[in-house]
Amino acid sequence: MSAQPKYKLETDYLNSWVESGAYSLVVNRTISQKLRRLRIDLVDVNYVLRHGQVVRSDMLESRGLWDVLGSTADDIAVELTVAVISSVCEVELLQIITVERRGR
Amino acid sequence: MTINQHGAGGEITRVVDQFDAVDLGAPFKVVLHKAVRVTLKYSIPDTDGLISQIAISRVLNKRKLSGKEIHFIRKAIKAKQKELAQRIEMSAEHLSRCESGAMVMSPTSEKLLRIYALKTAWKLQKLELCEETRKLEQMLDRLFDMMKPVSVFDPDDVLELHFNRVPKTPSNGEDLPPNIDGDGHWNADELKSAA
Repeated sequence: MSAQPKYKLETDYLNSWVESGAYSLVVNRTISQKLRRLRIDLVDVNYVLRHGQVVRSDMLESRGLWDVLGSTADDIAVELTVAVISSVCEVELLQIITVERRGR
Repeated sequence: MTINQHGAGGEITRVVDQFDAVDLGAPFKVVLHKAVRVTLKYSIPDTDGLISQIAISRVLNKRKLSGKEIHFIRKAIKAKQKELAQRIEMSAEHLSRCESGAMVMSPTSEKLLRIYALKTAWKLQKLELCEETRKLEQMLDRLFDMMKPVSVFDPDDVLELHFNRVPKTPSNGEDLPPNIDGDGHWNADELKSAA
């Protein structure tokens, strides 16, 4: 039997939440600028949230604070931090931790 | 710009009339009407559904797709380069050159790409489908996922396709007499046709 990823519950929750369309993505100005600087966009972020894995989990003022690691459709590895409020179906993009373009 | 304010005290949330969604990275302008809440942050509802809808709108627009647009549409339908290339009968290298603008995609390939993108984006939207729409979806799936045209066959093996008339109102599973004049539509008899 294969080992379950540590944050499987959070991962399943996030992936299916994004897929269901029942959430709002919240973006602040700093992140907005950072996205452009790192040459990724919200389509990439959405892809990572939908297919990526939660690799760290914490709480921030009653919000779930999760680090998500995944690859975009262009195989760019992205790690980001989101704050999740399930009661209002909101995912706030707080930080892009790493963007790694493989073999480029 | 008209601003609708919501909430009393604290952080005022505004729903703006028009929001230029630049962070989606589309190589064309995406304007969202009365749907985005703005404070110091902005909030886009159902981002996943929006991305699919943008892809649908662009592939249905007759303007030729640029390389950047092909790249955007591929990302929007969540397809890797290799996967999309395979679906539209093209090498991944060729698709890569089309996306970078080094080559222009042929009109036939572009049309195939548009149909595939439309089918995939439509599916990603997870809409409540009626029976007919579901059938259309399955047929398109068959066309792209499974069908390989067979060019070698026995010329004596006559191709037979079978059809029957189906009443518009469901029959509750009971066998009804042939419906020749009534209110109905043609249906392909898949089992007999495949035999």
